[in-house]
Parts: sequence; structure tokens; C-alpha cells
Amino acid sequence: MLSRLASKGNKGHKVHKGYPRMLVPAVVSTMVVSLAAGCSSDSAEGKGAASGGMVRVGVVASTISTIDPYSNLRSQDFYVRNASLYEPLAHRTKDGGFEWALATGITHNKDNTEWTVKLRPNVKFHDGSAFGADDVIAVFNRVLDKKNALIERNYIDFIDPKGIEKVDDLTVRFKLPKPYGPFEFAVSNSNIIFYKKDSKPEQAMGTGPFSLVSFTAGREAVVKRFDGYWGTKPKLDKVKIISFKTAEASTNALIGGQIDASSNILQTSLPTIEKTPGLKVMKSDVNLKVSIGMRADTAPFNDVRVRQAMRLILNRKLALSNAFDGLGELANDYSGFDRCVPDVPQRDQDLDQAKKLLADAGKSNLSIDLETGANKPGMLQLVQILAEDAKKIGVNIKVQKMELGAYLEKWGKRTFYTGYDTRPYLEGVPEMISNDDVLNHQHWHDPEFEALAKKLYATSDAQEQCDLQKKMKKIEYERGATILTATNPTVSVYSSKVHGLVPQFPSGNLYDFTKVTIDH
Amino acid sequence: MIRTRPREQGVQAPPRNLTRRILTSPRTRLGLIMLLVMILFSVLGPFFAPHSPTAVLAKPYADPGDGLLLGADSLGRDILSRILSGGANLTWMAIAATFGGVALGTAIGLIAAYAGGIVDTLLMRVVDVMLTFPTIIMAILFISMVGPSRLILVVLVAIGLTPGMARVMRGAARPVIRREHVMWARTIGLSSSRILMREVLPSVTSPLLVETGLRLMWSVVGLASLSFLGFGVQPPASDWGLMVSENKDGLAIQPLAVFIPAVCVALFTIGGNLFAEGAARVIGRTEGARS
Repeated sequence: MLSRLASKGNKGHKVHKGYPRMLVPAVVSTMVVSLAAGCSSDSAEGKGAASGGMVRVGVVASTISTIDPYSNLRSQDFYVRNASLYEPLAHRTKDGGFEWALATGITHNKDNTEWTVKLRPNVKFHDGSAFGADDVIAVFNRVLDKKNALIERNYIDFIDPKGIEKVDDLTVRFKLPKPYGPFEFAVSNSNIIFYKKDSKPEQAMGTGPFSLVSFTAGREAVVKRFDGYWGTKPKLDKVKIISFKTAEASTNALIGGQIDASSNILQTSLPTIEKTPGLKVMKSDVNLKVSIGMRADTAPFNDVRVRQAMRLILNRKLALSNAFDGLGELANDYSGFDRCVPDVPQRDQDLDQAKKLLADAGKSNLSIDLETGANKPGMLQLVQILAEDAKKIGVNIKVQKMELGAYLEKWGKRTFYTGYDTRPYLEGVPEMISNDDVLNHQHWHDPEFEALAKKLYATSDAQEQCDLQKKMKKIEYERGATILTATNPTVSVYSSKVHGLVPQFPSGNLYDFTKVTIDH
Repeated sequence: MIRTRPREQGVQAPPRNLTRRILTSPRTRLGLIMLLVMILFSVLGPFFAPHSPTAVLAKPYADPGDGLLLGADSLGRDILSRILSGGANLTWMAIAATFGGVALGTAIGLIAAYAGGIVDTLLMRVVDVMLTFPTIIMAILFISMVGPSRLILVVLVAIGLTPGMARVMRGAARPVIRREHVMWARTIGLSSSRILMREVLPSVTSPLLVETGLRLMWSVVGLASLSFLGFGVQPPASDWGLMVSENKDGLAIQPLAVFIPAVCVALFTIGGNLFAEGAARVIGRTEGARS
């Protein structure tokens, strides 16, 4: 059950970081400590040079959990642990670029069918042995093997395992069956991480800034600084990752001082937290869209006028202030985040127009169930606001809150339902045009959109990709099958003794400990 | 309130003045008054609500003021209106579930006691099996499968109340079955259903009354708990149990949104309990020796 839940969470909810994020939300503000320690209002920031010590972080995690970096059982502990112990080829950055990690460069031939990855020299695993091409090939083969049914395969299934070859110890070449443009983007997925070939999962033999000390499934993991790390070495001695069953529990532990930081806090507790001395709140860039899906191949939503009417019924400003605690910004019915944005006006409530559209479609007194698993902050509040707005023009939306397991069970078969989206656009589009109803849960097939999508993945030119994305987002805005109300940040809370926390991109979590220090 | 027929009672338990006897106890009177007040509050409350219980009028957890006497809840709705409207569903559902459960349980108990033998054994073993399922867990299981619906909730809670009721009524009816007036009715060939309705049932009204009071409280608590857990009354409808759950995160800033609905459920339950318990004492004192 749990594994199914987890994997559905991932696929269904189009998240590249799966189940844990269903429980989270998140954090951080302007503390770009990587730029300058001083840009925070925290006066103690400057003395963050003290090294040593241990930071305790709280995550919301399933009691079932394994140490394998590619386990399909994923909750927040999995991501936090993996980010400390392992590294990807490159980290994605906010501006759409890459910061090289285990790779130092990726080149390609003219028609985008052959991609060559140069690996970073002098990188060591935690046991001191050298990292190289064999380890990379072993991991790609595991991910691409259909038998393993790993979530990551969805993002790189354009790669043929037979086409991967070792050029030398630090060079790997990928020969693709078809041209594929956004190769760097795909292989820099933060979940495609590298461990030593033939090592056992419990050894946790990665190259990351921390190495494993102990792991107790469902309870805690302790990691310590890896002195042989190739990059900037962490200052902390240790990090303890403590699992909680609910966001309420981790919030209470934080208020009570049992943990030092958490991105899994109860958003509604923020007013209480702000009044608690010794705690700080950080909001990340916006990275989460709560969505209301309308199944486009089923009445009444097979009529685009009904879909547009629903989008016009909602009072987005009220939803942002009352359902999402005023955190974040308005969204405009197209997916993706703040890059490559189409030139369309912000959609606003227009009940007259909605009423007219419904009348034209012959659905004036529509009555429909709206199902929700209420698994993100604001979701249940959002659907109630929509239902209340709909009442004003005689549309009866009946909210059905369901137990999450039961809700996800029929994921992909629901007509009017909630979900959420944390994917960058390039990662979301393949699911939106998929024929698999777990991925394309809206069952939306728009020929023009799909034709543009084909072009998008054939080009490696960033400008062209961006222009195509704008056109595609405009189509979503005009006739898509999702109501996207607001884009929210991840909110984290941490103790004022801890310095140097930065929200990770794109998850917005506070779980990058390389630059962190703690007052003793 | 169940009234009994004073005729054809034979020798024992002429509860002609059962109601009066029960009401002599101050505890019972207090309980009854609390119960009636809460029922009236639930039924009439919606008519006095100053706003729609679902309309979003203010910022979440807004303080009292701006026409909102008690402030706003987690979504910015009027707490007062939601409290006034929040008992109606609970009340009708609890009453319907109680009467469903009591009727079914009484029928099973009386039939088992009257028929005896294999029928008794079979019915009571089924009841034993049912007793092992906690009502709330069973309700959550079914609702997870078929989705939340008020009617299904009523049926589930009624079924949850049935086994306990059946056991008590069987125990109460067994001595009655052996009494002369029942024997006589059997001898002259009255139909079984007539004997159960006319001869047995009137003799077990005292336990029936007490049990009905107790089951009503269990229904209230059960339904409010289910709403709290998210399996009962669905948002945006207002309901006391649901209100506690919706607003618990704001306890520190807007305690009224949790406190008042919780008190409403408590008053309802305590009133019913006082009544049932007081009635049981009175009955035990005045007719305990007879049955």
C-alpha cells in the first residue's frame, strides 16, 4: 500500500520529488548566503564561521523506509538523506542553467543524437576509491531497466541503455535512437544520483559532502562530514535527520526545541511560530501549484466552454489570501514556473461570463462532485472557495474529501479533482501529452499542443525552447484542463542558532547543510 | 420518549407513571433540559445565523469585529453562523441513527430471547462478531470504500449500535418470556409478532428507555468524531466535529472556533448521559427487584 501510494504520488502528482512533498510545504526567503552572509537580517549571521556541532532536522516520513538511494518507497527522509550522501551530474539553477557537480560539461553533435558527458576528476567515494565512468553507466543501466520500475525512468526513457558507452574513465557517450534536445535538463534530475558500482545499498557509498553513520528505518539517520569531499567541505560535524509521522509533530518538536530546522511544518501554525522567540521563518521561491483537474474526455468537461467557465468562477485573490495564507502569487492556468511566460492577461473572476459560457454549453445548472485528498496546505480551503463562488451562479459543486489512500487509488480516473504540480515545465510536458492516464490524468489531448511539444524536445536551443514553451502555455491558458490558482513557496522554520540555511532549488526545502553552522 | 400502553400488562411493572417517576430525579430533569435545549439550539440555530455558514467574509482566524461577533474561522467564515448551523446535521443524524440502531437491536434481542434454541445461538454469535468491530473503525472502512454520504453514516452508526442493544434487550426479555401473561398468550395461539409487540415489549420499556438515552449519546460522540476525522459531514457544510478539526491549527490565535463547538458537543452528550443515568437509577430503585 505504501509503496503504491508513494509511486502514485510521484507519477500521479507529477512531482519529481515524490511523496514527501505531498506532506510538506515550505520555506525560506532572501537568505542567499551563498552570495553574502550579510544579506540576511540576522545579525548573528556574521559569526557563522564556527565549525563543528550537530544540526537536528525534522522531516515527515513514512515509517517504512529503506536506505537504497533508488527505493520506490519515498518520503521526505529519503530526499534529505540522499542529498547529503549522493550527488547528481549537475544541479539545476533558478535561471534555467546548470551548476556542474559530478560532471564538468556535456556536449552534443549537431542533430542532438549523440551526447558526451565529461566527468569531474579526483572525486572520491566515501571509502576513498575513485569515482568514474563505470559507476555512471551502472546507475543509468539500473534506472533504465524496465524491470526495476524506477520513477526516474520516466525522465530519461529517451536513452537506449545499449547506446551508453565508456570512452575513458572520465567520459561517457550516450547514442540516442531519436534526437533529444533538453538532455542536460533530463540527466540533471536531482534524483538521478550516483553510488559506487556494485556497492550494497546499506553501505550508502556516495560522493556527497556527508557520509552515513547510522540509519534506523522510519526513525532517524545520522550523517557526518566527509573530509575527502571534492567541493567545499561542510563545517558541521554531523547532521541528524529525525522522522516524524505528521507535520503537526515536527512543528511541535520545532517549537519545543527538540529539532533545529524543518521544512515540513504546518503552514497554518505560522502565526504561532512567528510569536515563538528563537524561531525564524524562511520562504522559498514559489515552487508549488495546487491544481484542480477537469477530465477533458468526459462530460461536462469535454466541452471547453465548461472548463473555461470553471476557471472564471474562482475568485483567485480570495483563494490566495484565505486558502494559501497569502503566501505566494496568483497563477494563471498554465503550468511551469516563472520562466518563459506567455503574454496573456491574469485571469480574474468573471461570473457573468462564466454563466454565459455554461448557458452556451447547455450546462446552466451544473451539479458535480469535486474530490480531494486534501494532501497539500490550502487544497481543501481552495475547493471550498470555488464551491462557494459557484453557488452564486447556480452551479452546485459538492466537495468530497477523501482518505488519501482511497483518493490515490483511482488517480487518473477522476473527473473533477485536486492535485499539485512542482515540476519544471520540461519535466511536466511529457506527462501532459502521455497516453497513460496516471500521468495525463486530465485526459487532455490537444493536437496543436502535442505538435509543439514534439518540437520542444527535438531542439537543444534554449531560446527556441523558450519560445515554444510560451506558445504551449498560451494554449493551456486558452483551452487546458486544469485550474491553477496560485503558486506557493515552501515555508521552513529553523532555530536562530542555525546559520547558513538556504532553500534548495527547486524543492524549496532547507535541506542543504554544506554551508550551515550552529552556535554551540 | 417512549410511552407505554397501560393496558394488558398483567401483574408486573405497570409503568403508567414511569415518566413521572423518572422526572422526580433532579439529575434526570437537568439532563433532559440540557438535551432539549441543545436539540432546540441545533434545530432553530440556522434560522438565527447572521451570515451564510459557508460564505467567506474575512481573513482566516480574524478577530471578533466587523460584524463577526466571534471572529472568523480557518477559511474566513463567520464562526457564530457556523456554530448556529453546525448542530442540525449532527442532531438529525444522531437521532435517526439511534432509533435505527435501537429498533434493529431490540428486534434482534427480543426475537433471540423469544425463539431460543438455534435461532438464539445464531443471532447472538452474529452479534458477538459485530461487537468486535469498533463502530468508528467500521465506519471509516466503509466510507473509505464508498465515499462519504450522510445516509450511509446514519446506517453505519445504527449498525454499530445494534449489537450492544440486542444483547441488553435479549437479557431483559428472557425473564419476561417465562412470565404467565406471555405463556397465556402463547397458549391461546397469538401470533409471535403480536406476542412480542403486545406482551414482551411493554415489559422491557425501562431498559429500553435507558439504553436509548445512552445510545443517543454514543451516536452524537461517534458522528462528531467521524466529522472531526474527516469522514463525516463534508466541508464546506458546517458541523461541530468538523469545526474542531478545521480550526485546531489556529487554536493559539482563535480558540473560540475550536472551544465553542467542542462545548456544544459536550453539553449535548453530558445532558443525554445525565438523563440516561438518572433514569436508570430511578428505575433500578423502584422496580429493580421485579425483573
